[in-house]
Amino acid sequence: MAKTKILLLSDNNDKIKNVDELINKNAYELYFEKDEEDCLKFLKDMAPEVIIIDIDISNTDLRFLPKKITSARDGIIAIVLSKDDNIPQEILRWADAFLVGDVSSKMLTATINSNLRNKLSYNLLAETNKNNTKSLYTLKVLYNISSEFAATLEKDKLIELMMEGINRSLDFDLCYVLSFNNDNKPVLIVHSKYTLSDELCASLKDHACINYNNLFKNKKAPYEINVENIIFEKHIKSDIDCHTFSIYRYDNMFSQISSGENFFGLVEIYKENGFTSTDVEIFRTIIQQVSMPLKNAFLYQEINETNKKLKKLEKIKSEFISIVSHELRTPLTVIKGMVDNIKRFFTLPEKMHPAIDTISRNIKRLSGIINDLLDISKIEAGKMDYKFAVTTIDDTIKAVQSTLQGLANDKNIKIITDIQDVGVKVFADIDRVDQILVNLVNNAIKFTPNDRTITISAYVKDASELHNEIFEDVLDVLSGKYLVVCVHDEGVGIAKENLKHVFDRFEQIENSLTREAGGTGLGLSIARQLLEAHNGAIWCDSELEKGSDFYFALPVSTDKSNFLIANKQRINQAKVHNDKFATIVVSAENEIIENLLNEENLIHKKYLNNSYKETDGSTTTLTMAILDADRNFAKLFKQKIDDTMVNNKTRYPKCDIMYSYTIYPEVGN
Amino acid sequence: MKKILVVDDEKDIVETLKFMLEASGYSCFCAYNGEDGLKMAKEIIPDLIILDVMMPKMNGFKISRLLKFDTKYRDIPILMLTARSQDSDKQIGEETGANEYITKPFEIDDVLNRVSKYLGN
Repeated sequence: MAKTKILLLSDNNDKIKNVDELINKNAYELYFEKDEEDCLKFLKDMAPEVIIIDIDISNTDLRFLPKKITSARDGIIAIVLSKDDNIPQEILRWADAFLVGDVSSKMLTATINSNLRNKLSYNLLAETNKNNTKSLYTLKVLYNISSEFAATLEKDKLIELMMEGINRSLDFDLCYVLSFNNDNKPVLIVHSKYTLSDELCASLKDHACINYNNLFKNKKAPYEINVENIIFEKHIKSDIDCHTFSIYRYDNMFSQISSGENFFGLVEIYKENGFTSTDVEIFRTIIQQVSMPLKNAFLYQEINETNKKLKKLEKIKSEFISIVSHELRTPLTVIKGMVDNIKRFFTLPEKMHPAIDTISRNIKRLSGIINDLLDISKIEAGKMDYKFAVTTIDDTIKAVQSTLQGLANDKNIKIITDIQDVGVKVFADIDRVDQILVNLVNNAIKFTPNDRTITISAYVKDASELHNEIFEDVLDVLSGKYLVVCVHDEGVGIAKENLKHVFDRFEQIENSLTREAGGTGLGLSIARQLLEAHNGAIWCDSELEKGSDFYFALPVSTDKSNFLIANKQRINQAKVHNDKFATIVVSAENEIIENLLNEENLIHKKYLNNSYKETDGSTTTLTMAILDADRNFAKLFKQKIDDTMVNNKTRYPKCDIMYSYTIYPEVGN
Repeated sequence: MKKILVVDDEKDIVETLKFMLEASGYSCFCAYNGEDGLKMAKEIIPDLIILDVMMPKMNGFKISRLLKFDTKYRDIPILMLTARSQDSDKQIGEETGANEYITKPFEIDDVLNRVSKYLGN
């Protein structure tokens, strides 16, 4: 083992001799210099570990000595020899040890040894600390990337983040990723410390291709790639040097980026002076961490595309139905008109009557089908216009009874009405209620044998009183009071297992029984969707051979329920026509809301056109739908309320309100 | 004999209405697009016009508006024909001054009743 070098700075021959005698020659090598300049040169050239300074030296300004020595050899252990306590401040602050007066061999050795040990410990600590700092940084980088990985579902962005992670946590000369963009085109992204020659760029493409093809030697590659169609992208850190083919001789790490059966790309990284085992670990971790989100991104992309296709299909279907129905209507009008003309203006032979009647009946049926199809396509496209108003439906019930009694007479069926709660107000489009009721009574007539009775009853019930095992989910969402209309027949009934599906679209087309009776099977599905728009419900109960009960319920008119129905319509309109509006909810103590409502120029009358107030104990909640309002409006409005309250401390001793808003059309629609 | 002008781009619908109207004892004139319809209305000055909404060149609303704002023609009753699904048509039709609104497919009894409401039997 090399001996520790010690330099003695002294111009006193006795002292030099003295120290030379005291130093343990087995462990140390002693050198001495007599003047400052030689001493500094020695420090630079020979790099001793320890310097012993005799401060009684002449020709040296001791005040500047520490700085000079430190700049010649930083971190050196400085031991000061002095005959008394008279030591300059600069030396006192700087030196590691002081030996005053007569010095023994043991004392000198102990001082040197203990300082050397201290230094060794210090260096070790510093080294450990440096490593810790580096690990900490790497960990932080890894953590950051992994949380960023989790936050994105874009393939390109994930690859970019992965590259950034490698860049920040690993020191390398060159790194490339071969991946595939959204159009499945191969992309080669190269990050390099120095510029790349054109030859190297071309070679990297080849190299990546070969690596890719090697991965799929015995199986089919997920993507076809060749050198020509690779999109090349390079990021150069510095142009002070240029990488050449020698890069291939550097230490390298290679990995494919994949998760289960999904392959996303490959990555290779080069470093001239080799990777440490920690580097390998970090590299693996990053690749591993990016695979999972990449798979998610891949699945997300697939779902998105399927969704888009479905939406498009749905739209095409809707448009198709609409166009076809309109096109069918014209010839149907002509056929109907001409048949009616013949019936009205000519006297036909008796034998022709059944034929003409059959034609008429089927025209009517066809016309009904077209109307149903048009209704369905309008509802689905969100283009159904509802004319909601507060109204009673008593007259509608009576009108339907008297109109359809005519049809029922053919089968000697009696239709009776039983309106138990008269004059109940609901918020509804009366034409749609008529449509629903006509449909239900028509069905009842179709399925009821001759000479029986059909009853239309109407009564108010609380949602908690409505029960039906099969339609539990439909009834569970109801709350508050409802006007329930029941159409009861004594017909063939519906088997329990079929009940659940009677409101599904086209259900009855599958059902041979109803095919005999005619109809599209769309009627009940339309009724269900019309009631949905009314925040109502439709359900039924039946027993084979005994008869059926078809119920529908409309919320009894209250400010709140009416608002919710109108708002549903508004949200729908916003989606279809892109009409802007905002619902704003302000909740506070009753008095505060009252005062706010009374403020001049705060809550305008027109805001209250579409609104309702709900009081629960001491708290009042005001909900408003404000047309044409956007996010800015909602924020400004909140600011205005806050300002009003702050400026009127007497009326508003505490500014305690809850404020929330929703903007329509909602983003993403 | 009372004169009725029927304007519709669907020839067969015009034919159906013409048959019905002539069989009921009216004199029937026909036009197959909006422009011709307006021109004929001004030439013939019919006692009543049956007007389709959706037509090439000039739609029924426009014809109705042009006639109803002209003192010479504003008293001619106009019956509008439209597809059932176009509910908003009814509103616009009323705004443009049409007297009646008939949905396709129509009942001929219904059409005749409305015609006789304005022209008498």
